[in-house]
Amino acid sequence: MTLRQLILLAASVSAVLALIFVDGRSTVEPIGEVEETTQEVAMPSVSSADMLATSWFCPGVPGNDDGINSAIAIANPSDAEISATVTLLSSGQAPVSSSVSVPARSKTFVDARGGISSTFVSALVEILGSVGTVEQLIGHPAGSVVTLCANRPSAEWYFADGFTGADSIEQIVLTNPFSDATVVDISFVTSETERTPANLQGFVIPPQSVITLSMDEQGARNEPVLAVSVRASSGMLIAGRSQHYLGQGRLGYSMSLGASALSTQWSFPDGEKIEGNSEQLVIYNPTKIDRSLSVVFVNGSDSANSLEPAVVTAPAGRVTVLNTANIPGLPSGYYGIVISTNDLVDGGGVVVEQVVNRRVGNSVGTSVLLGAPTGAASTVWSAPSGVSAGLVDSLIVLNATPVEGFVTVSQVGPAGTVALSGLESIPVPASGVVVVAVPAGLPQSEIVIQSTVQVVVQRLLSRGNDLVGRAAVLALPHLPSPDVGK
Amino acid sequence: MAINPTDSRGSAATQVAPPVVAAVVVHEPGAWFAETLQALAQQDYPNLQTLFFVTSGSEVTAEIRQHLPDAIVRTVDGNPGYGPLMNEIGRLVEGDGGFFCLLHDDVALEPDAVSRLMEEMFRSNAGIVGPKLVMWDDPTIVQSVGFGVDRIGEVSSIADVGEKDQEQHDAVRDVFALHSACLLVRADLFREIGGFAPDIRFFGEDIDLCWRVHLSGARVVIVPAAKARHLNSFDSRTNEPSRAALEARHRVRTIATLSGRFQLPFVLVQLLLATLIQTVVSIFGGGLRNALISMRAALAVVVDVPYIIRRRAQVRPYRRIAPREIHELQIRGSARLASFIRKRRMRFTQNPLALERDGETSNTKGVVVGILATVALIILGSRGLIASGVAPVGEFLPLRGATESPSALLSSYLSGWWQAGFGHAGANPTGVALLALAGIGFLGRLGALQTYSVIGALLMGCWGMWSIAKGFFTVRARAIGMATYAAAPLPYVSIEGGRWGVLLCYAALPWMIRMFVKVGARPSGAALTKLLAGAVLLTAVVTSFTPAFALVIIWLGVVWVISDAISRVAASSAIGVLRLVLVGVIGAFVLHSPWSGEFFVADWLNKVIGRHPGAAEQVGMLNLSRLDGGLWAIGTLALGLYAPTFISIVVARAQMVVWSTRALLMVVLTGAVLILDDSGTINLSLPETGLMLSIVACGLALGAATLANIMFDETTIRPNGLWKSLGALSLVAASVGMVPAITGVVDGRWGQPETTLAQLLTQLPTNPASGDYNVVFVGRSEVLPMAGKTINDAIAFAVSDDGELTLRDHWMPISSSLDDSVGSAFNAVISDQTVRAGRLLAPLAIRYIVVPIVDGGASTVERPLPAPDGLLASLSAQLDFRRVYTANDLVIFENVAYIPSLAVVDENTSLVSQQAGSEVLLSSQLTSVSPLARSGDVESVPSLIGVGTVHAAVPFDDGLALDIQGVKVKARVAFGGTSAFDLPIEGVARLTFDTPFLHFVLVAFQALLWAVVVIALFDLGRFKRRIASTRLGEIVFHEETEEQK
Repeated sequence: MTLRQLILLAASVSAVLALIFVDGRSTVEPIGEVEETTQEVAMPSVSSADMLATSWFCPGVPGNDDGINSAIAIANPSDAEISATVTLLSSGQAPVSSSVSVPARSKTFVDARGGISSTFVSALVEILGSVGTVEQLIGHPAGSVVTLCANRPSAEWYFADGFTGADSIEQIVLTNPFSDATVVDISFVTSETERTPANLQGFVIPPQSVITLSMDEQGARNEPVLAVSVRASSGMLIAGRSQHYLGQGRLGYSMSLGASALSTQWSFPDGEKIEGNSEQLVIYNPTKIDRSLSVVFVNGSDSANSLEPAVVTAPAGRVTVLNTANIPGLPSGYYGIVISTNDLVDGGGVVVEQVVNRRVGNSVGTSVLLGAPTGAASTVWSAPSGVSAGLVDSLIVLNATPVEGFVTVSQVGPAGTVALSGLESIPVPASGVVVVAVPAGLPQSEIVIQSTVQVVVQRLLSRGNDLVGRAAVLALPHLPSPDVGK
Repeated sequence: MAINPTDSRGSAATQVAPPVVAAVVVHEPGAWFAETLQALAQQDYPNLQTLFFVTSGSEVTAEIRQHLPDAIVRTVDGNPGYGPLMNEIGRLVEGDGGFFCLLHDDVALEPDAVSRLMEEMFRSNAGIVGPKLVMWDDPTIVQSVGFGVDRIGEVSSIADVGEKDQEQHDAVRDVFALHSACLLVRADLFREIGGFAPDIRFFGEDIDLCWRVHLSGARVVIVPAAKARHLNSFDSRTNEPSRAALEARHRVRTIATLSGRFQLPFVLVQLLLATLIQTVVSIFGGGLRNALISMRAALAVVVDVPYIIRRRAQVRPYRRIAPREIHELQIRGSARLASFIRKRRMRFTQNPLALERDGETSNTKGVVVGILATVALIILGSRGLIASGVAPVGEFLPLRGATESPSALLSSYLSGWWQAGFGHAGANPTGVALLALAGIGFLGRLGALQTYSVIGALLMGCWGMWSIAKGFFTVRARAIGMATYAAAPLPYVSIEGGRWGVLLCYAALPWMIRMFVKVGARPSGAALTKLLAGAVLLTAVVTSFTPAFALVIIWLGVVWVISDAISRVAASSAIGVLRLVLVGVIGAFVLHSPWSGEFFVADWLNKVIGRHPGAAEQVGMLNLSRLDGGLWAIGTLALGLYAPTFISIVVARAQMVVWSTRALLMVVLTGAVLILDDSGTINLSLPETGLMLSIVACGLALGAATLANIMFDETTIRPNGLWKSLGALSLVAASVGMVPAITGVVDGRWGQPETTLAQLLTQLPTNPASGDYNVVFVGRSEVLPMAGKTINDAIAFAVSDDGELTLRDHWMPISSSLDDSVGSAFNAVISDQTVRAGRLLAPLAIRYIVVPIVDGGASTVERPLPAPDGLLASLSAQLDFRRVYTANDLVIFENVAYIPSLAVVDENTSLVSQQAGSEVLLSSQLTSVSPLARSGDVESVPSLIGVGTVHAAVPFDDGLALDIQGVKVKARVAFGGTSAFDLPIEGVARLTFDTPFLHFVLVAFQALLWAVVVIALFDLGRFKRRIASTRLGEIVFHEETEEQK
């Protein structure tokens, strides 16, 4: 063997060894992990990115009771007119579409029933471009509510809280906006057991229709605890929950969009420990694994922040109700609540809703709020239908970050988005909440809340009809969270 | 200057001895030439003069002068050939008297040889005599004592090969022919019969000369008392392509020229029969190549008719002996058969030399058995394909009579409209025309064409590998190389996954390497032209189906040049290889015009590379090295194939170092690039992995062949001791490496799936009454049934029209604005920008969205590749998509918002079509009034249409028109990219496309180019040259200068 051959052999063998080393340190990401970075947030949001079109799927309004008013609010904060197509879906009737133009810097209300007579009528609002926000409003004799509309259908929906005690009415409104039937499996959990009624397995929702399920008719009569899960085996849908509380400590009306996914963390800006009120955190764990949860209370002061997190175990397939009044040392007043799972073994989560019964005298107003899930915190939030001006607690802002922030509340009007006088750069303590009183006399236009840190914003709305208590609804976060300078 | 033979030696003896001029043709002699000269100088014949014809480049004048000061030396340009040069002796030597002693330059006469020849010449009154030729190195072995010749010119040596000289042949006797190494001939006779046949430059001139001597009535006598040693080394000094071919050609010409007029028909029939029998026998007993050479020579009689007529006329004047008498002198029966029987008899003799040769014969038979076994295993492993055809998996799209019949393909090719994808005005891929020609060749049996193309690719690859080292390695080494190539799992997993491009590359690459080898010999003239034409044609044919092959051969050329530089091969060889590659690639590009114009785009590299299965996922070094992508259960054993390549570089000596270096670098450099790219260390746009792995497979096969050549056949460099053991072990390892491929035979279909994606797609309606439509396939690029366009790293899409996918859909269509629209729509879907993608796709007539998950090739039920994350969920969220089929292997959505690909649309849609942009589409529901049936590639069936707008989901082009009652309504742009026709009147209308005249010109020019290359490749001018070569030009001698004298 010549020297040249020896060198060639040595070089080749070295190359092979080097390749083995390089191969072991591969930097190629397998297909599928590329898209992992954009995790979906299980709540409606306003897209910060440019979109071809945005769609809003509203969970539905009662459609066969003339005593109930309903509307779809479409807000346009931009400087140009936008056009939207509103399609109303109902039970057994063809969809009805109409076009709507929303002038610049204004808000338009569209009749959510459109003259259709159906148990429930759901609206699909399609807006060209990424500008424009939508909410659903119901004026019920038992209390007005504002409900968020979903950005997209989902194959699974969860409702942690449910209540049919004292013959309260709970209806699950299932909307299939597709041109294909959707097949779902529905189960519910009461205080005693989990039920999967045979008639609700493989349950078909016809194309472009709305189906309403009264839970009492499904065998869940007089249940103080009633969590519902809807899982589609084929297709996707929108699910909402209509509740009319008639007693046993709950009164009023609420309409909520379900949770389109489980989450490992839920945030509630409006925790209240006020005399006469009661507050419950209803935790539903629809998975097969028990979850250990930490419940953290924050109000920006040491009194709450120094509290040890409450540790709660949510058994698999069951509902756990945490009455905050039973937590020792919890200070009075407002505080934020952050509930998160402790075990991240499988990335699974839970669904948590907050039920607040506000008592004034002999009357009670019940509000139910699905929390803000993981990833929902943002520096900009919108309230398309506005806020209830004149209330001392119109807006509650939770800052769960360790950094103090400043919040500015603006209103969209003819002059554009203008900060409300006195509501500029309101400090929000680190790990704390701030309650913002929006002055009375403001026109009912879209409200935009900007913060220097990522926050969660909740609205407390007047229930109308001189009813006591509040209706609770989150604002819409702008996601991905925009960068807002100080 | 004329030579007077009586001038030579002025002694008294010369006055009585007839003059003899000994003429020697000298061509690039070796060290032994001194012995030749010395022997001539020592001749005791008193009147002998020597004349040397020296070919150019043979610097031997001084050496001749040293031994033979009186010799006359004439230098000639080039090497006109032995016969033509010797014929010059009649011109250069004056007078009719005397004798010519015609000698090879590697003959050493005994000192009395000429004297004894002369004595016998007079004693026997012979016309031509010759000495007993013995082996140069071992004079005790007889080399030749004349030949017997049968009626068809087959030669049988009187002395057996390796026969010991025991004076058994020492009787003077008449023979039919003498070896041309040494002939003593009467000068007048030589002149009368015109000397050697002027067209026979080498090989066969002696038979022809002696036959004509017989015809003239003179005797041909062997004089064993005269003895000469003969080296017989001319083969190693000639550039003649094939001795066997030349001998066969000359033999046939001789019998056709010299046989009697009435015997000739019978002789020719006998010749054809004999060659036919020889061919049949050789298939089973070996020697097929020689048989084919004989057959070709026999058939070439037709071409030689003018020559034969002319030569027979030249011979006629001295044809004095009746043909019957000539036949009496010839061997009865078959000389070949007689020779064969004699050889068989010799196998039982005790001659040790014969035993050694018997061993060689045994080796040859072993090689034949090995080759036959390889071919048999390939065919056995393909039995399922032969029985039931190739499964439509991956790129193996089916060929159908309706779309791939030769007439349909040629019609498309000429139309100037390429129907792939959405269709577009432009040239069809050249492969379409080639496919049409192949279909004609298979008499329209398209299924057979596809099946035999697949199996044929395997065999072609093996044949190519067998041919690569022809002339460098022994047949055994070449057979081992071929077997190693056949044992590479690459082609079989390519069949399993339907990788047509890889299979083509596997078949073609060895042939390209063979051309590299040939060009290294620095050919010139017609040979070079033929080689370059071959490179162009091979590249053009393969790139017409797999354009990335051009990149593969460029890389191969680079590796080849690097390895030759390391091995210190002459730079001219490297330049030749680079030139070959360059000419091949550029030539192919030119041959593909006008189609090649589509590659003049910004992302030309991606277009050349095409689909890139597995590009986004790491295969891993082990799986790459196994050449099976990790698919085979025992594929790791294939790593054994690498052993010879690495060991050959250790044990190689001399010329074998070049080959082992080439093999090693083909494996290591190519493997390194693949692994570095696969691991993400470098980011190159490489051709499909399988294409590059073909180079590795070639390297492995060459490595095995090199080692086998060293271990078994190169006795002078055969290693000993440790190296020998190492070599043997590595060959054993290579044998183990063949096990996976051999076990693959069991399946019978090389793992091809029973159920494929294409079969599942048949559920989609074909030409439905609701109107024609398009289908978009979206998902991982590996599982798309046709060439796709990338949406992002993980997702690609491809568009086809309704109906079954066929091979026409193989070629990636040129990207149009319509494809961009599809890409944008799916981008919007993936990024959740809209739930109305159905509306965006509606004007493109996309009715079905197919998400392949298991295609049966790259993704199987056992090893499924999951659909890209979120894709199905995003598609499911689309309001206008309806799931019509959901399974683990395939999901199909129907876009309920689509409009047919050719339809009359309503007024609102007509108005909307005048606008462009997604906003318009998202807010509009398009509606068709009535669908129109399409026919052919772009035309429509004539239909009655009212005033309104007709929309066609094809890219806008000026050539599109709706012919309504003789009025051509030109197309307008609709929806920013498609075509619409606003009809002013009612009537029967038909969609047409006017092919530009330039297209016909370009296609005609392309056909001309192909014809030119084919003519150059097959060297059709050789027939003309063959005839012309029989008319020799004048040979020009350079006389010695005074200084040389």
